[in-house]
Amino acid sequence: MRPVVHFSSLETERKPHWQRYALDTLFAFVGSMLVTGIIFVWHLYPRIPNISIVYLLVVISLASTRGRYASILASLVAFLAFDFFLVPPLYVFTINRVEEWIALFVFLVTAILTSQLAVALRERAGQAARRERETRILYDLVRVASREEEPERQLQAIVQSIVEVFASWGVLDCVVLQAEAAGTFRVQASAQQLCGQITMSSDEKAIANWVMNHGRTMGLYEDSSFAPSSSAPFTWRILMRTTWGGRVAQRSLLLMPLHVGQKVVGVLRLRMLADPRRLPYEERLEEEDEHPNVRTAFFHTFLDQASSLIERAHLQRENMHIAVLQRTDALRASLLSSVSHDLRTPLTSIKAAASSLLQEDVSWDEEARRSFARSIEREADRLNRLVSNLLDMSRIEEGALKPEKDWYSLKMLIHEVVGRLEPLFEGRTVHTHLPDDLLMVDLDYIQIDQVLTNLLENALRYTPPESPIDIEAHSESDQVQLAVSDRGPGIPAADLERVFDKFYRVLHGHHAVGYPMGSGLGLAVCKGVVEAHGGRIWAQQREGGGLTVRVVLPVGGQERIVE
Amino acid sequence: MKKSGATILVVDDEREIVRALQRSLTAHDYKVYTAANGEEAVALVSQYRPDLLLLDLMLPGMSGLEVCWRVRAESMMPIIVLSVKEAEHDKVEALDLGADDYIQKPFGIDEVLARVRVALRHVAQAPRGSDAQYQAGPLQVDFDRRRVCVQGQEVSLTPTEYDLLKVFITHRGKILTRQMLLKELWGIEAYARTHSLHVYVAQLRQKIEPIPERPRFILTIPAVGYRFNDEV
Repeated sequence: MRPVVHFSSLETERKPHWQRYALDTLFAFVGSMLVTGIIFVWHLYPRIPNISIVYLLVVISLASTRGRYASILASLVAFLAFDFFLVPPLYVFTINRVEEWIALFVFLVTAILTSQLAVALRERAGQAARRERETRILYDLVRVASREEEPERQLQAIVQSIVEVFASWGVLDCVVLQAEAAGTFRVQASAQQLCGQITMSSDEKAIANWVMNHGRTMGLYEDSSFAPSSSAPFTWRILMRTTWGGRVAQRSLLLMPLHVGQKVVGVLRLRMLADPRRLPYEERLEEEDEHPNVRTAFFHTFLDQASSLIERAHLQRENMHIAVLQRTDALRASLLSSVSHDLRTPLTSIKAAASSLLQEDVSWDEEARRSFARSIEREADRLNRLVSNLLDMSRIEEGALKPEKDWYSLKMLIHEVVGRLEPLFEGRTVHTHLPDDLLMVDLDYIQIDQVLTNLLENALRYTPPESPIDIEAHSESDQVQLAVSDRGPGIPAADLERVFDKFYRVLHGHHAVGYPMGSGLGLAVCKGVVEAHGGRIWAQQREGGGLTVRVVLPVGGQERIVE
Repeated sequence: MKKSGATILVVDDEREIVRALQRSLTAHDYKVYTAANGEEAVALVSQYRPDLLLLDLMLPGMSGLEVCWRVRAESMMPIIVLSVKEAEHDKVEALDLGADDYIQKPFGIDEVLARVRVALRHVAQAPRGSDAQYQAGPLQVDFDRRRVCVQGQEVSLTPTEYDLLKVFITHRGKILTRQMLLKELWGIEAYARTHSLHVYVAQLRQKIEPIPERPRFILTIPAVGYRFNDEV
């Protein structure tokens, strides 16, 4: 499990509005009245004509800490209190002297202007701080997303970050949906639950579909009067109630389209506290197109990131699909050409030999005739073996290969196969090591004959002309083990299992230079037949170089018959 | 029936096929060398300089195409390609690379002997294209005066038809792939004009073939191209 990066939440804790206003009002009154009290008690006013400037201290400090409302209120309260308590005549709001009028109004204007400047400064500083915070969050987002390699996990990271960052907006949960077949959706990523556990009501599905098709945001609210679009043809229903922060809060679902260009690639489902001031409402988001609102623009950055990831995942899947199709196609073509090549090669030899014999302008001597005839016979046998393998292979694939078993002597079978293939040996030695106590085995003679033929033929085909071949068999309790070993180039350890795959040769092109190609069927057929007999077959490197293929066959039945 | 004793190199990885070819060709007084793979073939070509190459395209190691290309880079010896039908693409590629003819597997020995004879005869002929006159059966061509006559009657050919006929006669007996013909007629950038090539061939046949429906001069080699046949 990778370490989880926690995103800092977008906005720190905010008090409800009315509390803020009450505090602002209190501070404005207390501050202004405090200054008034000081001036009043020490009789500072007429002595220091410009003493009203002291109020500016309160106004500026409120402007830079509490905001516009507090500072303007403080200016007004100061203005009135100065007039009421300090400017003669006292305790009435009338002023006799013109200069005092002027002084007071200049004070009021100065106070308001100063407070505005201070507020503007404060807001700018706040903006800068927020931008900095947002930039850092975006940086974290990109970092987390790019750390994951699969698009699915990147999406998951983004969804999680949306919940963490926008928690202060009331976002409780975030799910990315992708349309599948008509009307159904697949959960791509979810912040709170496992993707598989999420179920959608039919209303949600209908709305998700609408969002998908129209590319517009849509919400499910507790109260239908809240619905942003009264034209929506769905019944809106109460989803749930919960208490949040000590008061009853409504929950709502917001479904937003994820765009890539003009295309909607998915739907983002936000579960959130329905607080109109905090939601990235549809209206606000749409306004945003014309007047980029900083907050929603920031939110949209997240959406864009999610959209592009979905699109990327989609493209990746499509690419993979195409690659698979291409591979299948190439495979089919190469199998077809391989099989036809394998069938035609012995045919070519046969036809060349036969047409040579038939030539009228040449009188062949006896030796040449026999050689052509032998060649025809040998190649016809080869063709026959190939056809048997092809037929067996298709039977194995259909599951139609049923061994017709009987008790046979393995020793006899081995001798017969070796005898039949002798014309192919061409001077090389094939040793057979067969103990006298070899058990009789319950097997399908023709099929096991084919297995041994294939093994021996492979050994002959893929090894140098003079190298020896060893055939060995022995009994082990209730099974018999048979091994064909050569001193050829062997097979890389990584491929020892795959040589039993059908057309392995075709697919991997392992082919010793200088030796004719095989069909790539032989070992696959061996495996199918041996397994149909309840046995096992495997290949292993031979000590001192070369390859050994081992076959284990169960003896079968309860009897143990020693020859 | 006895031949000049030309040297032939047979390249195939199937021992039985090589054996049959070797026996029959030797029986017809050719001197035969054999190779089982491409590397060996290239080495034997530079060692013995055979008069003709019988080349299988599907070889272990170096492919037949590569052998074809290497041999052609050094020598103009006729190359006859042995191929199975499924390797259509390779076959055309081999012809484009300079092979002279191909024989489809499985083949009869008579067919091989006939193709070998034709290929060797064309090599023995005088350098082509330098003749001022050409005659084959009813067809007479006077290259100096750009005159073409069929059974004594002068035939008027368009410049393209005349050029096409000249290309055919220059390479008579050899299979010309569509690519080769296009290149000869219109240069390298003409690869997309296969269709118009067929039209010109059809027109030329109308004018010079005694029976255009059963051509005796310009033979179609299916899926490959054409061959100008001057054997009567």
